[in-house]
Amino acid sequence: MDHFERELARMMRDSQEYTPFEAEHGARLRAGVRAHRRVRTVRRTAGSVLAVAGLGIGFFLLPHDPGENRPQAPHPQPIPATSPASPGPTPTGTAAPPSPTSSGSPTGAAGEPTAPATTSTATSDAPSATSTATHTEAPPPDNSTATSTAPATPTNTPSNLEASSSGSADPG
Amino acid sequence: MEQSRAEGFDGFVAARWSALFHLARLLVGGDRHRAEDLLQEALVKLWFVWPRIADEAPEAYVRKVMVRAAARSARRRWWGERPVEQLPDLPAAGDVSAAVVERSRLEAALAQLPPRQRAAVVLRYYQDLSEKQVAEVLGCPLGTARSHASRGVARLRRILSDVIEPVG
Repeated sequence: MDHFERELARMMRDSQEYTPFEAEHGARLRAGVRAHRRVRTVRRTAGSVLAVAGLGIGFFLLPHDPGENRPQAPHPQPIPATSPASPGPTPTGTAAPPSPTSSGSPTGAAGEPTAPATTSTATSDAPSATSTATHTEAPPPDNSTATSTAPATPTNTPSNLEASSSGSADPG
Repeated sequence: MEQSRAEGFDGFVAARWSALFHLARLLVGGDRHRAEDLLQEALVKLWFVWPRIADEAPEAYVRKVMVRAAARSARRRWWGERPVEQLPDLPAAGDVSAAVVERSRLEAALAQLPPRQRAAVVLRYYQDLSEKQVAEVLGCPLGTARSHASRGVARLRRILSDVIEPVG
């Protein structure tokens, strides 16, 4: 700190004059505090109103379908394999849940539009259905079983036959 | 609770008013009314944080608020001044003393500095803060605060060259 800087510091300190804190200063300070408090209150209130309005608008604009809030009906049971003519691999998955006792229930005979009703209509040709179910319930363990069930499921019959024939011919 | 808060606050303000007012006056370059506004603004802010600050360093808080407000003040376009027909404050007869002349020269010189340079010089040479503390109060990097202070002193050196004679 050189001479000028020391003199500058001295001038800054020496130029201080005593200024008492007067009553008008206190009154002005109180008025400033009250004004600041009012501004804070207004600002806080406006913020709350804006937040509530924003939330309301947000909820209003949300895609809302009252039908989605209804309790859903139980999922329809998969239709069991009723006829051997139905193509595709669906009989293998649907044959397990329905049992022969359910097909003979009186509710099914009443004709309700549920899954058991369709099985009741299928009771007329029950022997074929049960035979198909028993055939498909059994997992296909190997090629020999597949060849035995080949006539019941026409969709996989040619492939199974080819596979069994090729598999049996391959070891040689 | 509110009563004790008000008593503590009033006691602090009454005790430190004079020193804080002088600091505010240096920070604004000598304008008495702007200095009062600056100090009032800082003390109003202090009132709302008084329960948390009272036992720590209320004067440092006021100083920081005043310095930052004074540094921002250059961006203000209008200070709420309105022309009047008669001057409100006329100088008294005893004001022409050497001390008053010196103070007037100092304040006039400080008024020619940019606000941040002025704040850095006042904090460094009147408040005796270190460069690091000046940077912390100004809210800027250390190098920036050092640059503000050195440029401000260099400019004051030119302005006050006829008042403070160089030694040697």
